[in-house]
Amino acid sequence: MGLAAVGLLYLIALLAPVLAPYDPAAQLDLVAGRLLPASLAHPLGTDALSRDLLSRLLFGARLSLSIAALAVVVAVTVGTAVGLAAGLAGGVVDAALMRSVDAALAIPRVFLLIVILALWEHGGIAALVLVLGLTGWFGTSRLVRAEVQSLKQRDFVLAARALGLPAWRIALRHILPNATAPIIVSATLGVGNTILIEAALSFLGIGVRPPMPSWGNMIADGQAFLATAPWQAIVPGAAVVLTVMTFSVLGEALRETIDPRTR
Amino acid sequence: MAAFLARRLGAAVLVAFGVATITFLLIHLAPGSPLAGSGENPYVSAEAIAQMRRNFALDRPIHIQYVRYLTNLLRGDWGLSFTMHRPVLDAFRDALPNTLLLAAAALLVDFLLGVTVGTLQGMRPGSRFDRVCSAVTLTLYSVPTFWLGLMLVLVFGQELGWLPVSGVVDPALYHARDILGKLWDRAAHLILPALTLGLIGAAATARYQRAAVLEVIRQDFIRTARAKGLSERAVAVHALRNAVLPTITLFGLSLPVLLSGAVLVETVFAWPGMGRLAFEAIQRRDYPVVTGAATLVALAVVAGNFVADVLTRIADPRTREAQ
Repeated sequence: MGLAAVGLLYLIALLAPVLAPYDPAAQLDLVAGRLLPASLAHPLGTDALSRDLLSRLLFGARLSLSIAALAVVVAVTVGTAVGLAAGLAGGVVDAALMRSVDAALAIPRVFLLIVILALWEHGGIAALVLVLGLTGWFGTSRLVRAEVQSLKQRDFVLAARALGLPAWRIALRHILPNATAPIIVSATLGVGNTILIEAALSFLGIGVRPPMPSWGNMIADGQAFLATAPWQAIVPGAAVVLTVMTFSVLGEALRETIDPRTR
Repeated sequence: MAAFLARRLGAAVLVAFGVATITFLLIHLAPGSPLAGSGENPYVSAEAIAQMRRNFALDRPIHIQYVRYLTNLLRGDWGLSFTMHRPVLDAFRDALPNTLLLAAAALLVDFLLGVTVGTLQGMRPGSRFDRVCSAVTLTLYSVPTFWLGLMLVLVFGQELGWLPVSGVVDPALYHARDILGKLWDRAAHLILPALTLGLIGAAATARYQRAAVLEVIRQDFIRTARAKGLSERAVAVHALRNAVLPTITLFGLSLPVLLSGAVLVETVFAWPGMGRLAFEAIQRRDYPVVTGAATLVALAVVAGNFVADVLTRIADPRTREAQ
């Protein structure tokens, strides 16, 4: 069920240009069309610049979901590589990598993101994805390392080694496939978490920047009109909550499938 | 214990040093300059800008600036703010108590609520109470902090009109009030921001505590306690003492998370704390304030880890023997 919900979310994001009734950036009628409540023409009303809220919400979904997914791909790739390297190499390499990860984990991620993104203002979406990914792999690397450490003592790995297979082949063909389950769980939960962080950064004005619609900067836009048009802030926030919950439910379900003890 | 303390202190100094260095590098490598605004201003002469550059020592090579920054920091001199025309420490002295007050109140909400709900859930897994609370905590876990703040503003500030929604005190009436009135004014301003930060934290704490209680309750000594015919309450006390251990660790680790959350909550509630100060300083390229704030964050991380370690050692004798 969680899987179907996530699929539906990405389908909506993919079809945003088809589903959206208007151009999300079009200022339709600055004189009479500002902050309209919901109506047939505008199912969720319009914002302070007379842009259609539903269209912005759909395009926001597109951005938020793809940024989060791509950032997690970056994070999981780097984290897996580091975890594999540390787990297999052992000794000094392992100690150096893991102490660095410990140190990096000691810095609050949101604080680091704020410093980086507020300083490099003109990076655009690609930079945002990269920064989110490169600050998000520390947990994964620990997880992968732990898996590798237990897997590399197992008979099938020892057998592969005895056969004289090269280390990279053992890592990629024998160890990695057996470590994918926990990686997938942590990646699923990571997407939800990244959506939350992206929303917060966009809310502060340093994530996705206007005029591109993201759920976070839509909430920031709505904050000014909380008294007159509260749905401006309510609707995109609710979208964030539902989406992140979907990923949490899917992640928990996957975890329970993999490890029945956590029930 | 002395060796343990010394080792922790050494690690603490290293982390603080590392964070100060990373922030210093990040901010000096970033595009933009604290004098860019003056450079575009036709009323500021080139000589004046050169003078400012000299005054802030921005004309020196970066490694000289770095060494200067570190030696000054060690001497307790955190530098002068570029934009506020006052020592960084003075600005922190105004802002830090507000953030600490907010964080303390949020932690109180977080752990009182989180540990209570989580323990009750863990004692009766699968009950209706457990399922309802699990749904609520899962939802809260998915709520953006700043959005929860806005929604609380909407409900309690705007629709019901019960509580003030911005600042630390009422700017007009505060000074006219008597001591009790002043105290209430402060408390009233604190409620919504503290709830915002605390509720989200409580969701995580409750989930954590529930899992910890579930882990403990399966063990033999709980079965023994039940078999002896102890009341459920006495059993709960047995369980809690053991299940609270992982949560204590969470307590220390939540300090830096709270500080990051404070940036958002302080923005929503116009709370004049460290988060807002630091965020505005980053945007103005106020180097000394940003690096100073980063050093403070590092100290908070270190202090949090330290508190977690010490509390764990006090609560769990096994960790003491292991050393």
